[in-house]
Amino acid sequence: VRGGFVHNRVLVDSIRKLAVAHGAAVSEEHRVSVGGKPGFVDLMIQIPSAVVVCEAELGPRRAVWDVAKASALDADLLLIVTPTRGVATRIQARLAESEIGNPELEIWVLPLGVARQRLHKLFSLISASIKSGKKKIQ
Amino acid sequence: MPHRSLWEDIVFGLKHDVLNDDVSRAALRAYQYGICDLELEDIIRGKVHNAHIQLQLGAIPPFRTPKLFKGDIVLGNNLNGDHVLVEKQWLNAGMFIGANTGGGKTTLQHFLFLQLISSLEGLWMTDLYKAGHRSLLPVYEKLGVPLAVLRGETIKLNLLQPDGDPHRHVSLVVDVLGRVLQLPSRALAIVRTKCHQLYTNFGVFKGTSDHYPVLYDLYNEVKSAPGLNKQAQEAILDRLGALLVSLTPKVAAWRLAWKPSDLTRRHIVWELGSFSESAKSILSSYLQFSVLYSRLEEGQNNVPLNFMMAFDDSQRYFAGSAIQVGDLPPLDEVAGLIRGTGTSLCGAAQTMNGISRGLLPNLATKIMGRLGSHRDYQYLGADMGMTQEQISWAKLHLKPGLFVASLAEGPWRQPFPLAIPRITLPGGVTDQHVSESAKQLDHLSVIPASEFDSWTPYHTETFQVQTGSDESGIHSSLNRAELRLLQMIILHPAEPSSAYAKYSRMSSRRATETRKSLIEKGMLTEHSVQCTGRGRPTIILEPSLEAIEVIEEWAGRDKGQDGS
Repeated sequence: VRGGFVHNRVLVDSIRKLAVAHGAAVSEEHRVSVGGKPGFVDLMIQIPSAVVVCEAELGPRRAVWDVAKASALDADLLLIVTPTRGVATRIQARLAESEIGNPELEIWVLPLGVARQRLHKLFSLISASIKSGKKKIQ
Repeated sequence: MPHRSLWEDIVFGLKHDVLNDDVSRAALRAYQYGICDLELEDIIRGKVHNAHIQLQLGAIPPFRTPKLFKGDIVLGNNLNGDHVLVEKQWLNAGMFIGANTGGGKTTLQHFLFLQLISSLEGLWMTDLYKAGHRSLLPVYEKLGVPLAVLRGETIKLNLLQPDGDPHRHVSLVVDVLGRVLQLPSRALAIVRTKCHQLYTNFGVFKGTSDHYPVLYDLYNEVKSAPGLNKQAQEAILDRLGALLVSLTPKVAAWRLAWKPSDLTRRHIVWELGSFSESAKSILSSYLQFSVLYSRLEEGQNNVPLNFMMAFDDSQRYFAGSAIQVGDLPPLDEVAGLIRGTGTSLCGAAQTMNGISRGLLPNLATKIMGRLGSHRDYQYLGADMGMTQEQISWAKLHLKPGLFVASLAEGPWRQPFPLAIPRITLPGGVTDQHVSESAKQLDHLSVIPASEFDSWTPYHTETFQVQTGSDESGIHSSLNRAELRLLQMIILHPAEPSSAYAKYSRMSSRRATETRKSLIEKGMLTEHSVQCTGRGRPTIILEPSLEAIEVIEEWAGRDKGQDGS
């Protein structure tokens, strides 16, 4: 697994555990090819009605490449999860500058806490497996 | 005009010195011989009548002109312009000068010191705030008398170096420390015990002569002593630490330093303005007490004045003079004992506020300058034996260079006005000039305690990561709490830092301290992550590779021990 402690153990692990707990199919370090150039996404989460690509980022450097990878995977939603609000803002600014666009790809750039809340709501609407659960997600 | 007899007029005239001219004296003599006719009577009555009018108008000072025409030194001039002469020996009983800023205290001291330079064996002038006495340096050079001006950093003193009997000195130091640092009784008992212990360890009681403990040794001794009362120990360390920071090792870390008794044969200006109040007080007290007791040990009693200690702006120094802490008498009483040893103590203060009631009786010669408040005039005026009329006159008429004095000794004990001539000293005494003057003390043998050159009261510890097959292992630098917390962080990664207090079964405060310690040692890295939707970011702790190795080694060893 590439990335450091915060990337792997805090951000990616947290989203992966949440997705698994809601019954989604999760693929870590999922392979992707963008115009013949190989790459990997941190998590590809498949739920019955959508494909969610999740990337954990500590800075804005690879944000545009993340969008390209998600587009190549024909994902419905790209979730870029960051440790803090400041990093998320910088990534949003970078994406706005690059003017990269894919009308079929919804992009969320969120810090971990908010990302977990939003995903929780998303999975709740789609999956029935969590309706009865108030179990604390680790 | 009220009717008065001729006799009453003569008494009034003599009392107010209005019959001092030749004609009046001739008329008085005629009256004494019983041949005073009406014409002579008119002369006397006319003078007295005029004096009454001037007195009513406040034009005549309500003082008698002092009849002090013999003596070694000129104290000043009376209001007629004649010299007021006093014996040098009279100053032995101490002197107090009270005048507010700009009142001429320093000028008065200079006027006296200039007359005493050649006749005193030693003269110490202590500037507690300003650097006014250094202007005497060119005058001393012209007279060929060496004067050393010692600025803060050039002073070399060791308060634990006995100047005479070590048993007496240790009591002195403990008392001075207790008084200046205001130590509670239990802390004082600890200081006393530790000082005795240091003296024993350094062989001071057995007569060592060049290797003495220093205050930094005392600090370390108290700090490292096990089982002391915690509050008392901390009281000592806090206050002594602050004092030592102010003194600096350059001043106070000398295994062999200058002996105060050796310095009493010199003319020295002590410039202590750069020190904190406690450091000023402790240095001044140490010098003063050392000189007194070494002189008493020498058996000096009722000897002629040969040494003078003067303190300028000594308000705060004398304000704490009544505090008695231990075995030795407070400064108030010492001021009285000094007289018999041929030592004069001269203090100058801007106000009487805070000055101990016990001090003034022992500084017998008192001089009042222009003061700032009614209370100061009343307080000092009462001690000088001034009447209300005289105090009222002083309030309105004293100005820079004009004082009211009352002497402790001699035939004239009434207060009298005293004018001090203006003295213009050559200025331009530079720091370099001052440093040159201090070199005359370079030949005195001193031995530095260089191990304290970089002393600091703050605890510092160097953490060194050890690798290899050292038996003690890397975790020897970590205490058990640190190891336990680190283990929990590794076992439960990426959780909020607050969770580990519970895992490792320690209080959150202790966990926070331990966590900070581990971060300082490079075992942990902190990350801020917004783990919840709102609120402050959570602190996530990342263990370093070394930390993981340490915990693996430690856990393996613990497991092996448990297994065995």
